[in-house]
Amino acid sequence: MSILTAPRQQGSPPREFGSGRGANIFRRWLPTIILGVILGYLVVIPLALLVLGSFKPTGLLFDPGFTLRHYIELYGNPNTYVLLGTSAVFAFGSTLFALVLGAALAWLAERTDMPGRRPVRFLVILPMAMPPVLLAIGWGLLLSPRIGLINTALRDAFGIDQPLLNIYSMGGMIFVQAISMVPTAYLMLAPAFRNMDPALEEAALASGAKPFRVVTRVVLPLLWPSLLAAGAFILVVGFTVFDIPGILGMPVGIYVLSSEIYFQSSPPAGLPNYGGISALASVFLVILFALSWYYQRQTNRSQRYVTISGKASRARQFQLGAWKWVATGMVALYFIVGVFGPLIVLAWTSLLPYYAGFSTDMLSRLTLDNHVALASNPSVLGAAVNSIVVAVVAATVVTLLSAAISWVVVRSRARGRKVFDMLAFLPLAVPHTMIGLALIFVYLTFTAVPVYGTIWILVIAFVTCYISFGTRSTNSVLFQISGELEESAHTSGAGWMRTFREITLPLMRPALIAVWIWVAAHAMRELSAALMLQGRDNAVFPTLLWGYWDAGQATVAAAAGVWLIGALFVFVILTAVFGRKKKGDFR
Amino acid sequence: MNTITTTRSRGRTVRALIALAGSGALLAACATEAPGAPAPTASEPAAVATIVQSTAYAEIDPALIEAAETESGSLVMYDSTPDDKVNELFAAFREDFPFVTETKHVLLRAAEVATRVLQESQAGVATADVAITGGPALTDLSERDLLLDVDWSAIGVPDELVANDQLIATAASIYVIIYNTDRVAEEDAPGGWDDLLDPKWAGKISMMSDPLPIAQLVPVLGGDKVTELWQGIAVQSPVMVQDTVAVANAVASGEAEIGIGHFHATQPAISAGAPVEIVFPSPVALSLLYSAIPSGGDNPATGKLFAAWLATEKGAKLNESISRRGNPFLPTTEAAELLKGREISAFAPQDAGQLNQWLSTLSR
Repeated sequence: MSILTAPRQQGSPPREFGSGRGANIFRRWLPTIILGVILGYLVVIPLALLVLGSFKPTGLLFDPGFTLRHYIELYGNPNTYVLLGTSAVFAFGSTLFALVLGAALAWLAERTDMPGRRPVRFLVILPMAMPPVLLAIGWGLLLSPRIGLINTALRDAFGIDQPLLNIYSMGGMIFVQAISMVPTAYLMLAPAFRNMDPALEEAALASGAKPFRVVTRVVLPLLWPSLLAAGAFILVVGFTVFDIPGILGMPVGIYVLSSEIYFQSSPPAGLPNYGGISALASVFLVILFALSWYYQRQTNRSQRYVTISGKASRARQFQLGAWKWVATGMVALYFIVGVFGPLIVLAWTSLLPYYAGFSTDMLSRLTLDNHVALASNPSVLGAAVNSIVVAVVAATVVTLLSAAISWVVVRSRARGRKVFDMLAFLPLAVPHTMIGLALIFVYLTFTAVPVYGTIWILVIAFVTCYISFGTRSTNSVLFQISGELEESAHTSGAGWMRTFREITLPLMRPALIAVWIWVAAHAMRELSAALMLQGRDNAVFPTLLWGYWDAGQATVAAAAGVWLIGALFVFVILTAVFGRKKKGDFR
Repeated sequence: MNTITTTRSRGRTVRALIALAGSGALLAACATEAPGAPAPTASEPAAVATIVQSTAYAEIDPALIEAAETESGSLVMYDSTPDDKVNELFAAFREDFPFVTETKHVLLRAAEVATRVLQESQAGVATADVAITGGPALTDLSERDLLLDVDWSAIGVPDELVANDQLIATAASIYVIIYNTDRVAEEDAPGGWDDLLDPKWAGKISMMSDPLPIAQLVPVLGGDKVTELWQGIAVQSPVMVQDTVAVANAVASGEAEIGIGHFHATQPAISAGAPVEIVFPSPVALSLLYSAIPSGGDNPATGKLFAAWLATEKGAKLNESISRRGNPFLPTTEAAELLKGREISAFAPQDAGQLNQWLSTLSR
């Protein structure tokens, strides 16, 4: 049985980095220097170029001259503020919904005796592999007022004329965006649930607290760093995502800020307005600065959240009793409707000769031609290999880097650690197209690093794009791990590197695996940056998929989506098998 | 030396070659040129345009082939056609010119083709040997002196394809009205642009969110008429989507009953048996795709050779068969047959500024 970790005095400073062997100036500054160089390279340069581009007439950095025109046009336009308001409704609504669903799934899978918890851990990740554009299209085919399968079935069942549900609405947008973010919320919250010290809840229950009070006074406060991190992350994604608002909102005249980015980056004629996009992205930067400041303020006294200590503990399972079948039913409903529904639509579309809704007439016309066409494409193998290499390397780098950054931010007193935390968060604000544009500039200028046009420029781009997710996740877990474990190691003579490798990393293992899977899945489906950075030898699977879509072959694109999801499923299984070598991961 | 002829002859189709300067002057009557100027107006919707077809395909100059042979045997192309399709094209090109041993294609969004050439040229690194995209973006490169001047006639390209010293037309995106035959009877389908304003289509039209198809009508219909048309369509609460592929999908699936789409983007659905039919409204709006030779490419002669080869019978027909976008200026292409005798409307590449201004005006 675990024992409540005795927190150190609130507000006491974290342990000095390297103090176990007597800190000296070099050691004190070593993490600052190392992380400063890495984050400067990965984050500061693209962000600086983004800001610089916003003052360039065309947004292109080699172009001469400077201007404030983009800011004046953007912020002098009342429509910008209307879009901001609409975006806020969409972002906050989808964040709330995703957090509730993600937390519920994480709690049920990690802390209860609900049957089928193990499949839940695998299946919840599946939607991450589905490119948002295909997810939104899938939901369109399910809930379109005119041709949606569910609406059609409801109409037939109840004999009504009007559709009951309309996915082309703000509610529909929020719903689909939330569904798409549930895996992210789950992966950020599950380790926190898993690591939660059951003694705290037991103590509260033993003191006569009702379950609601236990949740509000014990569970939620302990989860606060993770909830805050997941909420901030999902919120900013809600402000920047375009695919779902583009497909479900635009047809009915609902526009958000990211719609403006889309219009600026895909003009009907001429060059994209990169300067305008950069100026618009500065809105997101401001939002992120505010969120980052709030996050740091809230997590300043990290000892409050410690739940993993040197004392033995075993996660207590809530006995749901008869409710476990209700919970199983609700989770099954989520998977059937929220996960398998769009997947089935995608699979259905991949078997059609042309894009169509569900109908019995089409059953006789199902064909494997799209899959055959995909398999016959000689570019597929190279693109698939590139995708896997990029995903594996980017995921590994993000995971290790996130662990290192979080350790410095949460554990050390290294100079500039709060700045590092903020820097690691900020790339979330930058549209991936712009990260691609900045990297092209960087590597066209510094040709000594010959990555331009290769898959390695994609790895660099994806590490920059996803470091914010990684650090939010690893920060949350480190907040829960008591420093006394590392102090014990130091007392026993272990150096900081050995302590990090043998104590900290293993304790962070579930979260690190979650980060790895998340980044790998997103890297395998990322299109905007991949297309911007496409060179002569670095085609990846999403660019192939886009090529089919752009050529009017939506059904072949759907086939490519099916294979992409299949590949991710294999990824997850392999990771799970690997993870099971250490008891406790992906049980 | 022009791609689209325009005259002031009201209501009459004229097949005549008019110098680009003349075309520009005519179009200038329909639109103001100065950036930031008030919304363009046009009260003279008198321009009539038609395609002037060449009577022959390109006959490539042997000297160009010799020049290409002296280069490295490599070709790099930037455009937005899927890799597998371009690979077919490259294979046929290498078959005709075996000294070209390495062909590389970089798939980019249409809007990003010129950006990539621009960035690479400014950085002084090798860029594409041939770039294919829309006229306005390439004109931007031309204004920055990043495209080679080419004597297209001298290397064997028919005059009818030549827009200017930098650009030749190699394909056309044709805007059409499409309808779902399961939901709309042929006799009820819209036959022209004005039919889209019929209240019966309210909420049933799918179209791109940008006004490019409508803006391309300005040279023929004039600004006032186009503005009226655009506003009338907006009143119909059309289902706005991101691209013409999505328009074709919406109509094929029955999500929308009619749509303003691209001929080529609709072809895969029609070929696969979708209940979709095409109507060519009058005038037919076009967006032309041009080939250009960036000055920063390593193998400019090979780039020219490829651009010229696209105007040969083999190159043009293969290009049309894989991309569904043909070259209407060449004889016996499907695009040429489709547009034969039809009134067409499009901005010439040197009038990109006016097109952009119209797009901006209509987008408001």
